[in-house]
Amino acid sequence: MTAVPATRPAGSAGTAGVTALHVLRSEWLKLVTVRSTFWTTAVALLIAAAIALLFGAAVDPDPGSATASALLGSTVGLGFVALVVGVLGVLAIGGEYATLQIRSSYTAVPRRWPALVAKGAVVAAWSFVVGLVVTFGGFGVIAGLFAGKGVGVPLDGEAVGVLVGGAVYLAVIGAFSVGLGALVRSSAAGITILSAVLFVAPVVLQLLAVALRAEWVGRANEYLLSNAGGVLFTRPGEASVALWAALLALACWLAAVWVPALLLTRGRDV
Amino acid sequence: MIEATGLVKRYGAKTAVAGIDFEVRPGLVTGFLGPNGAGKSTTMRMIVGLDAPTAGSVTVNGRRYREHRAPLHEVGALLEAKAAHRGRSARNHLRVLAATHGIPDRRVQEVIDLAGLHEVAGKRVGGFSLGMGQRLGIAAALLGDPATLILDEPVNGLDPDGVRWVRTFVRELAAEGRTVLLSSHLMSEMAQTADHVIVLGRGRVLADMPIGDLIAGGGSKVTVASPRATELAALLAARGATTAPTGDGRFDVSGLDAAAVGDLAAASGIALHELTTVGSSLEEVYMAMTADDVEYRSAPTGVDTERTPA
Repeated sequence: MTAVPATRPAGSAGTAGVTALHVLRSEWLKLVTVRSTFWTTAVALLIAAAIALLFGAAVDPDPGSATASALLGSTVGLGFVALVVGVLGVLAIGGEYATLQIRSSYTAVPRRWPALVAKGAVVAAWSFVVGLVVTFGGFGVIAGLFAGKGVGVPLDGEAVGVLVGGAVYLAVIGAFSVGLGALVRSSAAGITILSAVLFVAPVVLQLLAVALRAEWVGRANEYLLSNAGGVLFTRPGEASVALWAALLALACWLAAVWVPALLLTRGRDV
Repeated sequence: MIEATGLVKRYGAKTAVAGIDFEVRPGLVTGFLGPNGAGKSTTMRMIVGLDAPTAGSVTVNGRRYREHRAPLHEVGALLEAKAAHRGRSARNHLRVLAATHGIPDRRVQEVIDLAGLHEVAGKRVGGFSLGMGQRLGIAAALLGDPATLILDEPVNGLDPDGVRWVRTFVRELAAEGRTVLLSSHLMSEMAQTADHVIVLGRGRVLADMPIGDLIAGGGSKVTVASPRATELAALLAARGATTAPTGDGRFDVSGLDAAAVGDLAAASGIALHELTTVGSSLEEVYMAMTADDVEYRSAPTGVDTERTPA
């Protein structure tokens, strides 16, 4: 260490301290200064692009339902994209626990919850933008390929709603996964639970509904995270559950991880 | 100023800190000493709110750490080398922490220069050596230009240049009127750096006093060399002194000072070849004080009593 004077000109570090805006900015910097954010986002975009290209090339559109077909093609991959976005969210907090960064983070923001909420908000915003690129980009690619086959694909208000809905679903998954990661404090456990919730639970409930011949199990299936989320990017007439009910279910899923995560984070030794 | 009152920390059935009270005052370097497991790190973690006390409380500048609006301006803490995301560069790690308080990039650059990190600031923390991790931790502690610094083993892993830098630096910080709490296992380092020491053993305060008093309390002895050593030792013992051969022909005398030993030798016509007063070192005082409080005792070297069958 060199002979730089120990003190600095007065005032160069004196600030207003921890504010909502400062914490948001810090969490934003955290998100964009690690590689995992970029490789998960790249994987999400690659999956979406591949599906849109294959769909647009393979499907022979019927001029009467070209928009519906393009919407299907641009949202059909959201289940996989959601898993990748979820991995990003779990890593954003799980990586802090794995590397002891969390100690630095909670020393800077000792009330803790503002840092956690800001991280959820930043990941949700990132996921939403990824979602917009995925859905609108996918729709554009498919519309372009359909146009090459001589079929025009008009983008109406309802279609815009579906595409934005897909992005909202990814934002929900982003926020959910940060809450989940904060609750279990481990990337491996968080990703395992996330995969189980997104992919295993629907299959299990479906099989149970058949095995037990129980209609209520089948109805419960519709309120699982992935299925309730699917309502957001389904055209209103075609969804099995009303939009408000789906939104309520998603709010419950978010609360299920965030309420205990916030309550426990305050008192836990890190 | 750090004040702990009745501070207790238990992890399950194990008591790490067993109800301690102490004050760390501004303008001094206070050394935190104690064997492994004595509760030093736990206490430091409780000061900055990473661990919640089981009972009692600790405040910094009159408030609990968590209640400060701008904690990084109050306290800078180095509790762990490399408490940083391995994938982030050193500069970005500091920017992330600075951002929580709106501390400008200019200050980030200042602490990078101060800690001697300019050449590696753009490198990812995962590849840092322990010494570089320590420098990064010190840089992070200085970000908010805090009035109080808490440094847990700051010289661990540093090269001799770095060790000297930390020593000079913490002395300067204290001279500016800041509060510095420092732990180290290096007794010689602590003796050169600290003004005041708090010795912990098994979660309790064993001593809390100026370092000079602590060492003086260890007493002093007189080392004597004489061609008629046996005769002189017997005379000294008759005057109530305790003598102990040092193994190289000399012997140590305690209970009488050098003047008394010299006068006695002269009166008896015994020649002295050496007469030296030796004060206790911090290490000797520390070892004597914590002898009963060492939780993880090393086996005596060279003794092979506890070999278990393979």
